[in-house]
Amino acid sequence: MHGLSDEEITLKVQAGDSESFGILVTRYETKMMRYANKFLFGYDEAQDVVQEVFIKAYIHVQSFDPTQKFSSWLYRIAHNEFINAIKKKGREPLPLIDPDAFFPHLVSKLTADDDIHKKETAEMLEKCLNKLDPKYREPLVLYYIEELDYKDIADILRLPTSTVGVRLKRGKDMLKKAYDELYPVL
Amino acid sequence: MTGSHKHTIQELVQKEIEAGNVKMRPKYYFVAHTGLIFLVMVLIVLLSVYLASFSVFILRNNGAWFVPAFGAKGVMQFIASIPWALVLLLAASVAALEIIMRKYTVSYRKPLLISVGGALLIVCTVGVYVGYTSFHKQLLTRAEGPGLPVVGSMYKNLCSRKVNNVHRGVVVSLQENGFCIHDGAGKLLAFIMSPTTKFSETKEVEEGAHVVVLSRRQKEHAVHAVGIRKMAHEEEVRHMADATVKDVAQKCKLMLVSQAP
Repeated sequence: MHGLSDEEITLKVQAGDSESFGILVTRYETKMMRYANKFLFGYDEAQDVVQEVFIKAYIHVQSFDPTQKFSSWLYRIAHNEFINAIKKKGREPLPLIDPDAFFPHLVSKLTADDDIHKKETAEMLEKCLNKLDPKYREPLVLYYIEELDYKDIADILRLPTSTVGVRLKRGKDMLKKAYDELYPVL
Repeated sequence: MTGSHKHTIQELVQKEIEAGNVKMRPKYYFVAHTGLIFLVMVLIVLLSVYLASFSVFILRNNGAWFVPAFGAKGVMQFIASIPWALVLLLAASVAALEIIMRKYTVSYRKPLLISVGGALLIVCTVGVYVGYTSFHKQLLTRAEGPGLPVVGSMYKNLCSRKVNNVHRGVVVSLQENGFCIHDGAGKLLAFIMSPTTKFSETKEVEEGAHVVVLSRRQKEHAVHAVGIRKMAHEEEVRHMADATVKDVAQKCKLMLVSQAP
């Protein structure tokens, strides 16, 4: 059973094998907790929200198309739950209309240099999470910490791939600025 | 820390499922949900096409559709004649369609501008096509005749609204310095022609021809024809009764004389 792919296990759950859902929870709870802890930085109820993510996933499992990636589907549910948690608290601004998603952009992928320094950026991100807006914090967490690719992030956030590129680039610039303010080079 | 979470969440979720507190929604629920969304989308698309085609029909009916051919003044007149209430409704329905579509890869993968622009382009293209068919003409005929439920008064109101400086009618008299038309409302209108008068399609405007005239009031009574467009038979939106004005040539001559500078 443990050798099966996520999608194969989901098929079993859809066929009525509820216990198999536990395997999926085990596989993803660490990732979901990490995503929640980083994206919902400073929020107390990360564990409750993650639990709610899995419960929602179970309730809606019949809507999952096993030809698609289970991880993207689960991350999408998590994204919705986390956004709801942020909205509930009302501490951070969430734009209703995002101009970045309105206009076409050239796909601005991060450079190879950025990839080499991925670990470094991830460490910077850990230290400056509270300095970034959720709009930029989330794609950075998904890219540098969850190590998802542009296409997966675009599917999770329901944005054009080029907009993901723009957010990552701007988010990284903000991150550098925030980091330099926190740890000025003497 | 991660380890303690691991067991707690997995156990809690499993416990909730086993206790029956959390129930999987059946497949048909999602199939019905998707079907309902698809139905709403189809209805919104149909509404959008209807609004776009009705707007085109209104503009064709009052003649404003044809006046951009007369240059900047024609374009300005066309913009002023657009039924903005219908266009706003059309924009709202396309926005609603976009909000629903945004859940699907086909829409969210593209920037909003392209996605909305594409939807508008498709709706407007189909709208122009439908606006040229006899669909609205038949509905207008019913609204003016035996009656059309729900939208009858809307057809009567919007299609009978007069547009400033744009006139449709049948040429009933040609004179040296101008011509007269008999419009759909039964009025005789006189227009002065000058070397600056623009002709769209053909310069041969004979008596009995169906025309659209873009006019400009020069002095108190003088109306100058800025542009004249002869209508082809298939461009007729509604039937123009053949003129039966008595002594029309004499009346037209008098009207033009009174308007002459």
